[in-house]
Amino acid sequence: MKKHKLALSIAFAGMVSAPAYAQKVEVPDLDVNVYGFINMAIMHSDTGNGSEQYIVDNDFASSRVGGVISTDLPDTGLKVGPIWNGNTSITPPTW
Amino acid sequence: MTPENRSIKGDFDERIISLFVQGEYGKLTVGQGPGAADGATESDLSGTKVASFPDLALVGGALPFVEKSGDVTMSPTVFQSIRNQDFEARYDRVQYDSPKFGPVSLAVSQGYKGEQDITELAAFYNANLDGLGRLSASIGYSTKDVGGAAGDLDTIGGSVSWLHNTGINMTVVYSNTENDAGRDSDFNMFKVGYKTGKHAFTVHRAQGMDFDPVVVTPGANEGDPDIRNRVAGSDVEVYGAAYVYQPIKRLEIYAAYNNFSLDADSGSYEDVDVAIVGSRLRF
Repeated sequence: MKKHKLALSIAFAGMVSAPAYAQKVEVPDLDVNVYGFINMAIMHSDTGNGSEQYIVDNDFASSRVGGVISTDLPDTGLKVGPIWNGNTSITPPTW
Repeated sequence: MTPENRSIKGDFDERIISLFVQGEYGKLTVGQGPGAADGATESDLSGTKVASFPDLALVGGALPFVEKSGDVTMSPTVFQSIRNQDFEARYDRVQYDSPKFGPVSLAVSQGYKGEQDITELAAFYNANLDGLGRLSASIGYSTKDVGGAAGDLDTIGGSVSWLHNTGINMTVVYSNTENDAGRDSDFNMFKVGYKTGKHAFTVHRAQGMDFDPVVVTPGANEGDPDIRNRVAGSDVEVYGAAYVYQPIKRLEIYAAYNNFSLDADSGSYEDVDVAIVGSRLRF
């Protein structure tokens, strides 16, 4: 996991090629946690129809990436933020 | 992916998109994500969870239990025949997670998935036991209004995992699902292992009873209705083993094997054997 302060640089449309005019917006105390993993496996199977090999995304813990952004609300003791997480998926039945 | 098509491309799917507010009185979450009881049947301190997960049909699930007479209309897949019946992993919900009361925390969620209203309750326990290692346990309950003859689908399940200081560990899982149409399926699993340094090894036995899978096959001629056969009295037993090597914290290299066997009121079935060798890299 990576945790760091985030500084956003916003270049207004049409000014991308002119960085001297870019607006830099500091967003203090914003915690960004990015996480994920790649989980690949080789599978061998044997059934009444014979044996076969497959290269699979191990669905016991399928490959994914996600993030949590949070910030403290002053004087409340509260922390707020969005959570996002996506993964690879194949409509069941899956391997 | 199926035996007939081994190259289905996976989609990138949104699992969680939520907003939360968290303070000393707990955490409130709104949006799509796992329910309060998600993972309650998956407590596992063995170190082999990546290779020997309670929902064993998630790897090799599309493989068929071939009926020995060759009757494809009575050959269900592994995925249809045994599941750990864990709770909802993603739906639109409002969820409250309590702060920890010592080793215990509670959670409740209410939401919907399509036309189905879902309510979940759960309790989680995690503690270091003086001189006896670690204990992780959880129990969950959910009711899902699926409508029609099935009515309400009620699930109760839990798990207990104990890791002794010597590295010996044991894990037990149980779940039951019932509905108004007569479904009453059970899952149980027992896992024992040894974990030392960078190595973890476990053996397990699991059982799925009365899932009674329905095999749907196309009619003989175009326009004929599908043939639907229920494999009544299904009883799937699984015996397996797993090994995980973790040379660094971010990396696991694993190998696992499972033998699935199906017994039913009628028919005789070939076993399904599944072996995997793989690796997970975290970032």
